[in-house]
Amino acid sequence: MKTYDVMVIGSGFAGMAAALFAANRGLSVVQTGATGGIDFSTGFIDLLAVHPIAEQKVWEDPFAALAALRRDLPAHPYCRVSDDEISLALQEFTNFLGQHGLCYRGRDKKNTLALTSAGTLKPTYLLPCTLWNGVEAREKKANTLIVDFHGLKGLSARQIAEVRKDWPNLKTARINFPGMGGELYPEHMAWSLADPARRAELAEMVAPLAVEAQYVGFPAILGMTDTSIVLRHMEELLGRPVFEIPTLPPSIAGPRLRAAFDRGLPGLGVRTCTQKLVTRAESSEAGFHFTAGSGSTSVDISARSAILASGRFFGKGLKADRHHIHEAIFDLPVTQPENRGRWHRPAFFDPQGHEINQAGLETDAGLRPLGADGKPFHPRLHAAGAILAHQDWMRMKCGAGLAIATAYKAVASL
Amino acid sequence: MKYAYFPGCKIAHHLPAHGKSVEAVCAHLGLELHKPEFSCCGYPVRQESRDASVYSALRSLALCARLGLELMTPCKCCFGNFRHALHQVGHDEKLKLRMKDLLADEGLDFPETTRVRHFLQVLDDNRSLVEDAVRRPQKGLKVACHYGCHALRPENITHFDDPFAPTIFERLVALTGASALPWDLSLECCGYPLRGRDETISGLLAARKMAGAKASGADVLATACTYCQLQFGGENHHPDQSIPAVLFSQILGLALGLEPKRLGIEPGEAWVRLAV
Amino acid sequence: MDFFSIGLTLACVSAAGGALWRVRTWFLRGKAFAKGGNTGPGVFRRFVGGLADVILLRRTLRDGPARWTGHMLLVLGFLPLIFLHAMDDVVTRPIFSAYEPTLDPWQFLRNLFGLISLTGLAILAMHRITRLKHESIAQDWALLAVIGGVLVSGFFLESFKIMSPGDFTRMTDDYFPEAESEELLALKTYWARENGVRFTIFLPTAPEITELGAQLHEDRCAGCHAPTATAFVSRSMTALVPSSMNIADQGRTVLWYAHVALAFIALGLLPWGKFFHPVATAANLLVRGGSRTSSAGNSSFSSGLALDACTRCGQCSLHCSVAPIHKVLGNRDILPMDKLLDLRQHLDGSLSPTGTAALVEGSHICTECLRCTQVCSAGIDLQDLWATSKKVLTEAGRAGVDGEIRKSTAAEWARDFSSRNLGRIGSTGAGLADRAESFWGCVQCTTCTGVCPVVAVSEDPSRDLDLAPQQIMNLLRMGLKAQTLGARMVWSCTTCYKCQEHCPQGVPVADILYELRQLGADNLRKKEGRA
Repeated sequence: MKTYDVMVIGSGFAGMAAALFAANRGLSVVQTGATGGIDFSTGFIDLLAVHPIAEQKVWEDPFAALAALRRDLPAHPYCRVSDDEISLALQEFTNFLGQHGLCYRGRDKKNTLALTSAGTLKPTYLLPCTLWNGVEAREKKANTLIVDFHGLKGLSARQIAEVRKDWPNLKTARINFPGMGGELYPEHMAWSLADPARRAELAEMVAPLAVEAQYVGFPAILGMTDTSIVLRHMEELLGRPVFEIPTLPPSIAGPRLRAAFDRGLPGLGVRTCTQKLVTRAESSEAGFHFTAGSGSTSVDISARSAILASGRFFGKGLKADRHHIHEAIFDLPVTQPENRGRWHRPAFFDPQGHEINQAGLETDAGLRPLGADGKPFHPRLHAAGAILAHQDWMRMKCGAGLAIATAYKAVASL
Repeated sequence: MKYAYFPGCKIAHHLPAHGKSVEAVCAHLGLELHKPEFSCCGYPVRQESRDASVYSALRSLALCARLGLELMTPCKCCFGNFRHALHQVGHDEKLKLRMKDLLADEGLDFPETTRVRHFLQVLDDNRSLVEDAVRRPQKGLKVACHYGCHALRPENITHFDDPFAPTIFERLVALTGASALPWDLSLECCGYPLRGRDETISGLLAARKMAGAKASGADVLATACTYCQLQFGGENHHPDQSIPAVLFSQILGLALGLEPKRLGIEPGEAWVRLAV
Repeated sequence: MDFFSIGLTLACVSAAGGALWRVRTWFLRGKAFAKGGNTGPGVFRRFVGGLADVILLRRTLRDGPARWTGHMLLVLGFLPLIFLHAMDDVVTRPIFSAYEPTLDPWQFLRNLFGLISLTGLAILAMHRITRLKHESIAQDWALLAVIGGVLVSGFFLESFKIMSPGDFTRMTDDYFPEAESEELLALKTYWARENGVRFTIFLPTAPEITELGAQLHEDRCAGCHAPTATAFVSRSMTALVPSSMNIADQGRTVLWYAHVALAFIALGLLPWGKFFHPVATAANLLVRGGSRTSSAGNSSFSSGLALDACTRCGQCSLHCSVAPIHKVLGNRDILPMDKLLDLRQHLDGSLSPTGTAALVEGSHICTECLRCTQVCSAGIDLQDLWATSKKVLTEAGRAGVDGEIRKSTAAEWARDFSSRNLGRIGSTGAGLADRAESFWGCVQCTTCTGVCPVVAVSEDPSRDLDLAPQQIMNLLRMGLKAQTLGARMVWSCTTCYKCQEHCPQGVPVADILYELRQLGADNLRKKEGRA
């Protein structure tokens, strides 16, 4: 049986990034994981926007925020990675996505406010290029038309206009999507726009409504694996800059990311075992033996080192029973509130968040999770992403950035 | 290596070229095929009755068990249904008992350990054999691989390859010297299961796939499943057939230096000129 | 008019009229399959191939030696009996001037051919009993019984004739009327001893009388009557009748009626069912010209002939690819032999509604694997019959389960299904759709619908498909199974399993949709009386 250099457990942002970074460094990589994490992604790569949570302080400069965070929360996983490492990690990650048709854009050392489907603004660090014209349009308060579609539930142009009272030149229109009727789903619309004739039909319907508009915005449906081509073509057809606005999850951003990795990682020699969860794990001096999947269809995997990027609860990296939270694969000690009563605060939307969302693994400086004795569980077992303790990525708006940066660090420490 | 060869029902009349080319390739590679008289794999009747489908599959597997051989089929739907049948009896003790009774009626034992392999997996298992036997690498032939749903998904039952990022087909195409082009719809359905049920949707699914394969710049759309090939080529004449559908066993056969006639390739099939 | 003439006339009228009626159906039924002309191998090759199939029974040989041997023996024995024995007045006598049925070689040959025929028939009967018992119907046994009856009654008749003193007296009255009583006694003595006639009177044993008897036999009898010992079967069979029983004269009369009546019945039944196969099958083999594959576009005549050529040998059903499905579902029309029978009735408009439903199911379960066509002893292009009849049935609105469902709207089915007990899947009822665990994880995230290629290519999913996959999961979760069973989405699922593979919560969406179709099929079967 082949012994891989690295086993990556998980296929969310952290798992995908770890597999990518390890493969780029010439290591042989095997990866397991289920759908879920990346498939529900918004497509934004947040670095850090909110700190401290309790004050809901929003930062424009994520690196300044990072400095503050490292001062205030010495246990936060961001304390294990340097600013340089973070920048290099994001660069390598977005380069890869760019090669596979997903261009990302942001401002140097600055968060950008991106328009959401609800009309609110979300601070993020890097965003898909297809959204960028929308950022400019809003910042200039330019004459803009936002188009939405009968039957598409994930985005209401009128609601955006109502929320964005600060953008008076925002006009809206609702049209029928060419060739489809009834209830519409973003993925199907995106696939259908692979046909240039369909784009021309769409442009023909929008053009008369956009005479006065400088920009035209659409729900995020402009292509699946060829978004930049579709976007450019729509701009040509309409004669003005075009942008996308993300729809409500599950939006098309997840399938786009999934498609890029599904195409790109096997090309780098990564052996993927998607939809297989690790059901058995053994470690020894020499390395690890895993069984992924169960029954007759299970596979056995040997690896010298492993990166645990299995996520928190949604990713099934952590499991909660009535009293305790467990780590699912090695049964590593999990830092968690003393008892179930303290898992959640009384108010669901409490700005301070809930204790349970800080649960996770303790690590050493090289992101090696600690065993019960407080020492690294295994010299070549590392952890990355949401499974790490002392972070509430959702409220701090640091999910993808933290995942990518810790994956980078974990691979670097192998 | 010896296998019990399960051609599936459609080959004899509807797609003899598939059987011919698979058998010629196996003979050339020294893979011995045994041909007991099998019954239907149960896939077609799965729409109508679970028990009939499972029993039909198990009966053929029981014949393999009696021969002590692994089953090898060139059809993805047969492959998938065998795997499904085994999965279902594996998770339903009552069903297993009923199936045992039915098998015992015919003097057969329950096939506890019979392995089911698809033709592509068998080739992949014997990669070095294939590699050494290639005489005429099909350089210059650009291939869009069509995976075929029933082998690929659901992976936890079929255990064919990664369901989102499979590579087995491309790996094997590379062995023939041809190049497999990446394209977006390689894992999508051919639409055959809706033939005779919902012709409109079936036709739309096929047309979408062929247009996608053509747009990728490929010369041919390669299949490794009887049903998929029937859907894209074979008896289904598409008014807008923009890209020829070709059986992988035929591409491989040519690469092995076998005569087109032995592979069931009709004289005048245009794509052969693209192959060296 | 005597019994013989009336019987023969009736049998001939029945045979000729019936045969014409049968041949007429070749044209009529064929019209339901009306298509272009026949294409196939060249005329000569076809003729040679067809003839070889007819004479050598080549197709029967494929199935192993037993049935071929049996059939070959029966044909080789029975045909000479028909021409040389039954039709001796019109065939044998005109050709062989010295013909007498009581002379050798005729007497010997009759026994030999009879024995050969019986041996063949016995092999065929054993074959049917051991291998085809479950596939056989009344006419299969009837044909064996009638032919066997003719042969056995013939042997018994001859046997009783040998023993009959009445027959002896009739002969001597005809051919030795001037005989003195002493001479008669001597002749009787000789015939009793040498030829097995059973006289009730006491017969002397003095050597001079025996001598005289032998002399008289040579002079008066031997010219037209061979020793009965050459009727080696019949003569041996006399041992079956105890010598104490004096039934030879009465028995001989009864057996004559029996033998002649059975022969007339056989002749009269010729156009009935498989009794006609010597004609229809031979004709079909000639038309098929040795081909073992299927050729689409057979002419309407050859299709009509093919429909009529079945010998019910059962090979198709024994080798049928979907035989295991028949074993589970129990519908006989899944198997080719019975399906052909019902197809004929359907084309004649005499199949019951239940029968038609069974035929439709059988027709759609066939996988068109060609095997029945390859093994058919009668050389019937079954493949073409199945493909065409499937098309004909579909065009007549009988497109199987799927077709039935599509005849009504989802709402109509919802009403229909909610009024019945739907039952559960398969024999064990371990249905995913009935288990709450199947849906626990569903968060209605629409991933299944988002990845569905069927939803993707449909112009208006809510109009064309009624429900999206995630909506079906939601209805099932609420226990509203009947509301989903008629939804187009369920029946137009292309079974690509993307929904199931992509579901982040592990809901087996595609398996559940499969189950719903199985459940729909189950309930339609129940509705059509095929539970």
